[in-house]
Amino acid sequence: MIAWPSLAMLLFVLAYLASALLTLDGATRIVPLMAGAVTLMLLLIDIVRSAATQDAVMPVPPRRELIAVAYIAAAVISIQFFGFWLTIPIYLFTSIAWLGKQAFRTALSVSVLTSLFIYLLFEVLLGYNLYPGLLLELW
Amino acid sequence: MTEVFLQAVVALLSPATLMFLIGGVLIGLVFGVIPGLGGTTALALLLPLTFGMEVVHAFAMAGGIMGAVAMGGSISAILLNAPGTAPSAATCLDGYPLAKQGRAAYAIGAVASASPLGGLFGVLTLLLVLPVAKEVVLLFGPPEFFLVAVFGIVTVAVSSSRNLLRGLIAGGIGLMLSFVGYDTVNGGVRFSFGSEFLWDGIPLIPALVGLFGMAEMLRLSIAGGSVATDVSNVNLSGVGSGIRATLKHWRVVIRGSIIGTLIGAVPGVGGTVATFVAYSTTKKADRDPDSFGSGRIEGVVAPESANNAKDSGALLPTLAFGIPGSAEMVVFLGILMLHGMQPGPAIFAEHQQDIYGLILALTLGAFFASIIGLIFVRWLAAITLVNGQILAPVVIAVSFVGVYAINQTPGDIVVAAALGVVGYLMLRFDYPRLPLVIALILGETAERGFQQSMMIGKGDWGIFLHSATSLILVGLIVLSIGWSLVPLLRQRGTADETGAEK
Repeated sequence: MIAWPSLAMLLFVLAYLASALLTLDGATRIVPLMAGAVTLMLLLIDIVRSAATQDAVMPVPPRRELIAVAYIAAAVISIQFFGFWLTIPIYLFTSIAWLGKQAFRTALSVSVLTSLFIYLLFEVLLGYNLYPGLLLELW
Repeated sequence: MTEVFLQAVVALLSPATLMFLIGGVLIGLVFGVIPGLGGTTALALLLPLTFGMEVVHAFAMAGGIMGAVAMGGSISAILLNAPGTAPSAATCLDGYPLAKQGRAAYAIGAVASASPLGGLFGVLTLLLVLPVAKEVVLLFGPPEFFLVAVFGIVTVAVSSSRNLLRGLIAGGIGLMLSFVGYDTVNGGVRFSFGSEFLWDGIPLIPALVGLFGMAEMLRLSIAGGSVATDVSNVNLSGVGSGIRATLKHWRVVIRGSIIGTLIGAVPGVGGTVATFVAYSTTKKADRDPDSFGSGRIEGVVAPESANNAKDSGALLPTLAFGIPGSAEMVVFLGILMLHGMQPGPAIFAEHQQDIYGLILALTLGAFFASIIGLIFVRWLAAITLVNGQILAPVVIAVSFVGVYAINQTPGDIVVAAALGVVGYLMLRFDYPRLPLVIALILGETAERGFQQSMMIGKGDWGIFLHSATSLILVGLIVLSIGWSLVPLLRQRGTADETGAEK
């Protein structure tokens, strides 16, 4: 059976090659096609080789893994809509208190102090205007 | 020449200039430590401030920043596996495993000594090469740029010899990603799927922060614990051993410095390639290459010596031709012009004292950065003891803000997060991240060199063998592949013999 990361990469490379063939023309697609074709060949060799041998993979609890990735994805989406100043403290607090199972007081103090550090360094000292989020921009 | 050099020394050692230098060092350390910021941002922020300054003060501050950023970037690379600057990513490979073993101070001690030694070597080389700078830079045309890029990718891919095939696959995917965006030779936008954000390609710093920093923080938050796996074993007093280790491995320092200076001098290739090639070359030259990646001090010394040496190398094309050797040099070029200095061969004759002042500031900056870094090393190493459930969200949050600050583009956060997940999966399923990164950086140089060479040679592949420089580079590529195949063939030979005996 093909391992899912190999299958995902195979699909990515095939989609890339199809996109190069269908959307690009002439000289612009030569080098991407060369790189894609070589990678496809190497991937197929790896898939055949992996089918014959059993690769060792890092043992991890899949549920915990999915939650951690979902948390990052939620933070990214939240930054796009609500900006940094709402997302960062909430992300920090919930990650530490709920996901990390740390004490409520620790989570609160770390999220407040980190947000303050970010504000002082980036907004006050460096003069950046951190992203307010799509909703605030529209409003 | 000696008289002008001494005048530059006197000017640099005046209290006011030293103050600007130390100020630059402090700024460089802070900007280096925080992932996503780095020397380019620091110099860009400094650019308007230098307008009212004397040239010597502006150069002292810029030299201090450039000399210190490398040290700062390597501190976060070792402690958090989150390279503060792109060239420090190579230091993660063995520096972070050392931190996990509780030997962060040992690794930082090695950085603090290898960095200034590499810088000193680079500066001495620069002083020697300056009179013949023009001839050296002109040795590189499109075919040579293509071959340098191929050499960089091949060296790194084959150095992941534990899994050569997967190293090559990662390199291939890195190359494919590097072609996203505007085609600089033929025009037109590729693989952007209507997104204007992707017109400039995959942004490098967010990609590096994701692949290294975020991936590691994800692993830490999932696995639990702290960066140093054995908390009781964290040794905060190993700085002296680190310095001694650097001196003991003086050959590694010299090799790394030569690679850093040479690659730094090639415009467009940059410091990240220099540090990765220095790492790979040291790994390949070692008797036990498989032990690299598990905490070998040579794996810290080699990229660090290359990291500071590359700044002097990058100064060469910047000053001689106005062709910046790195992103930092692009901004530095702005500082030069702001002070009415026109880059070109004449700059050495017209502004000799200022140029010497800058070169000396670079060297002194690296030394001051080491001293200041060492003063704070005990407190910095304690970061490895912080609970991963607290550290990971904090680093991820600061990294999000840091990568956003570079271009003020929310899309950079998406890239960092997406590549963070990809980096984590690569860790989980044993795919090396190094070849992907190096190919992502060198893809554009390789493609541009290839296309331009084909145009010059009218489609004749013989263009890649037309000069002595090309031939040397082709020889090095063949040697790299051959060198990595020898152990595999030996293994197969031994297996065949065992089979025959049975």
